[in-house]
Amino acid sequence: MPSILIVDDEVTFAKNLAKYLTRFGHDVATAATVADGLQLFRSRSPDVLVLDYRLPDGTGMDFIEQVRATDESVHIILITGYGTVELAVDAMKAGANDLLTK
Amino acid sequence: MPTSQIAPFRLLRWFAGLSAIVIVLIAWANAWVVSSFLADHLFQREAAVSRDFVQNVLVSDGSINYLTHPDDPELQRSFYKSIEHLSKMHDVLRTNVYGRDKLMLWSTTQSLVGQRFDDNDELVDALQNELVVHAGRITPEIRPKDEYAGLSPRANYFMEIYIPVTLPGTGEVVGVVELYKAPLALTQAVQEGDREVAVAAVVGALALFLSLFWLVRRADRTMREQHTQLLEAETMAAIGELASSVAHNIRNPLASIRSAAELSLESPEDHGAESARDIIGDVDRISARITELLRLSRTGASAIQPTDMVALLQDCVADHQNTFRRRQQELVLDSQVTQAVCTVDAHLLQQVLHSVLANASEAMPDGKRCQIRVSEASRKTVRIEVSDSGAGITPEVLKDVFRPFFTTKPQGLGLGLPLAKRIVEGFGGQMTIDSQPGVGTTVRIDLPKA
Repeated sequence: MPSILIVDDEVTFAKNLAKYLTRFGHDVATAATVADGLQLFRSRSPDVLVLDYRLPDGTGMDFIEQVRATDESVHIILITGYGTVELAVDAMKAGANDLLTK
Repeated sequence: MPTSQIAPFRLLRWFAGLSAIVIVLIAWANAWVVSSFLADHLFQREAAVSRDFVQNVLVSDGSINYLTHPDDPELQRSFYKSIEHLSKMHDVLRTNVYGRDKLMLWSTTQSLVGQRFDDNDELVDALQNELVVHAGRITPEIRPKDEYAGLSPRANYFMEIYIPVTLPGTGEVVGVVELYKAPLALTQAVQEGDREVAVAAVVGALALFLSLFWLVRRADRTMREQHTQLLEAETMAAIGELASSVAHNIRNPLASIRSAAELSLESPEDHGAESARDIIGDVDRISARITELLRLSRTGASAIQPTDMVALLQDCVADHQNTFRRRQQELVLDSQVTQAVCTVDAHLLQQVLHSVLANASEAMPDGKRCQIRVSEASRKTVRIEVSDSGAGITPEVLKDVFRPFFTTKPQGLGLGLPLAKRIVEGFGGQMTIDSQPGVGTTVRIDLPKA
């Protein structure tokens, strides 16, 4: 089953999403900041990345740019509390595969 | 919430008043200069014409020779006849004739004949072959004098001309003729010139004022329109930011609540209690954020009064001491003054300090030190500085810290510092932040003394 990394400072949401995905047999890890997320990404090389747009030490866009510099294959889903067309376009341009609104 | 009331600058009104005064002054000064120049020029011309006339009369009949041969009775008769003729000219009020030795040889005032005028500067200048002219207005005060008797009321100027009489060929000055005149034609010419200059000045001033007024009114209108558009754009941007922030800060906990509820529904025995606790926590978060939002728009009456900053800071330090102690952090007050009274709302200023101190505590690792320093920045300003030894703020973040809804905290709404700055500015003060990453941050609050 694909491994998943969730990076979201909304701890409850990340925890519950991880529990939910774990039930389906995924290997799920969570992080709350860009720095922690990047560290986990490098150590675990997940197949899917679920990223919140707003993070305490940066944005999901920053995260995507750093990931795409070294990894073209990982599937990236950007999630946000406030989605706009402009944000969706920017996310796709940056290298996200999908944008979901919470 | 107190707000600083700055009266709007009424550009058009100020321009109309100031420009009218300046233009009138300039027009008046110009008219005075031109009018004076014209009058002086006309008087000089009149004097030159009089000199030529006197010189020609005395030379043509040879009577000028009397001035070099005062003992010749024939020349004296001829000279007296010529001078009497001159003294009866139109506009001439008085005539005096002086010899080279400053002795008066002839005068319409007989009693002066034979007297010497050594102290007459104009006479001295005329004997140096200089045409001396004095002109002035015949004021109501001097008009009753005998010499003006029978003078036309329209003759408003007098002229006193010292005409050097010179020998033809050699140019040697042999005497001086003094004419005292009230030239009517010249008066009319000067008055007409004055009128035309005045009309030109008024028309010019009006044209200048009206054209400038039109330009400034148009510029003022354009600026007002642009200001309104700017305000609208700022309002729309603020609404957009508010919507984004509210959506982020409300929808995120809602997403957590929903995920917790879904988990609980699917396996209540495994996740029921934990999900319920998560839901309660997230509901509390939403409530706290709404409270903070409402506080931003609070318009309740404020209690502004003279307040001692030293006492207020001592209370503030006492209130926050436990919070700092729990993290083994030190909070100290360094007071450079015994008393510093400012006119503020003590409650609101405590909110500001609460926000600043909470940030300082969060920014510092356990065991670090935060100092509050109060001093006199100037004779009129009290300065409060809160310095922490935390992680500091990067320049990129520092430029945005006072922007509403900007936050780097996971649970922050981004309103603490913007609200604090707004409160301080409402008291007529200023709030600034200096920070050095890795060293610490200093929040500086300057307040005007009461």
